[in-house]
Amino acid sequence: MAVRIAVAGGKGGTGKTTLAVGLARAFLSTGEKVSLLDLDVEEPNSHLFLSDLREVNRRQVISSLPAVITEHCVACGRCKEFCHFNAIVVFDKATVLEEFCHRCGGCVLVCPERAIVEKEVVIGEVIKAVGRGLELVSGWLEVGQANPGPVIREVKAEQVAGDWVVLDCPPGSGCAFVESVEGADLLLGVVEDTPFGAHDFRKVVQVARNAGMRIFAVINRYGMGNGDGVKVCEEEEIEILAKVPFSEAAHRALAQGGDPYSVSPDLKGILDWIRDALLERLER
Amino acid sequence: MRPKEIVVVSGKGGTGKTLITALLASASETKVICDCDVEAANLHLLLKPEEVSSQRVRLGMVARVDTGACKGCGRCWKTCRFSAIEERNSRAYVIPELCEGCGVCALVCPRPAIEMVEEETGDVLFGQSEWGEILYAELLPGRGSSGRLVSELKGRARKRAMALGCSWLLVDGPPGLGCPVISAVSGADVVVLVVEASLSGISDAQRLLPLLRRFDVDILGVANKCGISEDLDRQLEGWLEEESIPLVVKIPFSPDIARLYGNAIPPKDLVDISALANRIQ
Repeated sequence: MAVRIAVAGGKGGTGKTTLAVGLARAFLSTGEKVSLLDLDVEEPNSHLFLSDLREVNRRQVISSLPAVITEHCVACGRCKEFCHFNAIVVFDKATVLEEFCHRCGGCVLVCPERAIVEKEVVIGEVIKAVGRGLELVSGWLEVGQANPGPVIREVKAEQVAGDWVVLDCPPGSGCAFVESVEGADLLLGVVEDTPFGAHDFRKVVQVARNAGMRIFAVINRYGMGNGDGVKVCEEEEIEILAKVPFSEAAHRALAQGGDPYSVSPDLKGILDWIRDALLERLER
Repeated sequence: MRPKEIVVVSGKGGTGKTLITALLASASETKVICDCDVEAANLHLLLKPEEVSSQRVRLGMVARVDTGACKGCGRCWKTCRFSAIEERNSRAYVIPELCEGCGVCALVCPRPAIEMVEEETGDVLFGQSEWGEILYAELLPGRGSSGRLVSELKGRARKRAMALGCSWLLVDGPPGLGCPVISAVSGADVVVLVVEASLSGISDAQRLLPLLRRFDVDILGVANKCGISEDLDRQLEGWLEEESIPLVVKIPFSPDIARLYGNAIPPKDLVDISALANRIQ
């Protein structure tokens, strides 16, 4: 069984993608089979750090949107009454407000006139690319679509070859994050060593704990902030696998799309260390 | 008069949205400040409001199964579009984190064994900071209704700004381009687009822009963490120019700014955003 590692942080810009891509490379360097899933489908970025990949597959994510057949609609208002999202208004006929619709299908079920049908809409894309032994599956939410959940689910449903599956998760602690980490074997938190990183990581920990997941942490930008990131891990009794020092040089290299595993010997060493720590903790 | 609504967004996280919102707050006279990143609220950690009051809000619904009444027929889990119901011990089991509260399961249940109940969404908080009143919210971890919490929070902030006769309602937006961002940007007069001078920062802002264009808003550009590479700076500036978005402020990448910020101290003396404040006025 493949091991699924969810790389998450709560706060945005803490280094999730850097760690996810770097860790995937570190596993690869020891001959392990690795798949990387970019689940930040609103703003996927993993591919930017993996310039040598070749696209092998691309498919659309389809969802259904209710459409009213106006000739059949008698404006009874049952659909509007049922809809929990206020996504239907009824004047002389029912009208669906697309941006509020959650695609639950309820209006179709309650309409006594069968005047609501579902039409298919493209809400995103799943792209698979390979190169240098690595497999990357990225999800892309169609811009203007509000709900990333179905696209995240499609990325996770993709058949992957890796014995190690690294999940680059979205920021936050809401539904996109929950969808992303669901089913993961462990959560690897990237915690910025600042009051902000600490505050947001705490929420991530609550979700992961509720799901019964094992949690490890990597402190990022160690030395830049006030030490709250380390403190929160101690309070929550989460093992810190590594502390990555704040480095201007690393920031410069990564901003330009450098591969995290190759930009500096220091960072490579830390990534190898984290990989080995995970292998040991998981007794692999 | 209706206050001018200014929303700060960037697509990517960690680009400096909160920093710029805080500095804008310090640069204007009368305003209400509102942090719409309800999944990872940070502005209050920087502005340190006092006498914070908090109110629990219930904005969503969640399905609840009466396991005594459930016969395990499976209609609910077969109909649920969100994979939020599973079969466990031959009974329906709701995964609350995935439940969107649509009520379809309760509709199709023949018993009936499913009831829709109100769900706590999170807390709306309100406090007084040195630079103005701040409203923010903390989504309960894992809840699905962050977009609705954003709308609720913004509605309250608008009312407050009206009541106080403020000229500005200043909004710190969430990352990404999904539901919470759409809720945060809707109703804005001015959007401040913060573009980090990095490959991912530029790429994410480029993806966000078509969404912003759907709203009737003025877009002002701020470039952050500049000077890392001439190439990136040129790429960033060239793109904004192409899109006719004025680049109002350029902030250099600076470990000094990062260190102050990392200690929750707004780097007022190191970053001058008066040009942005003037432009909005």
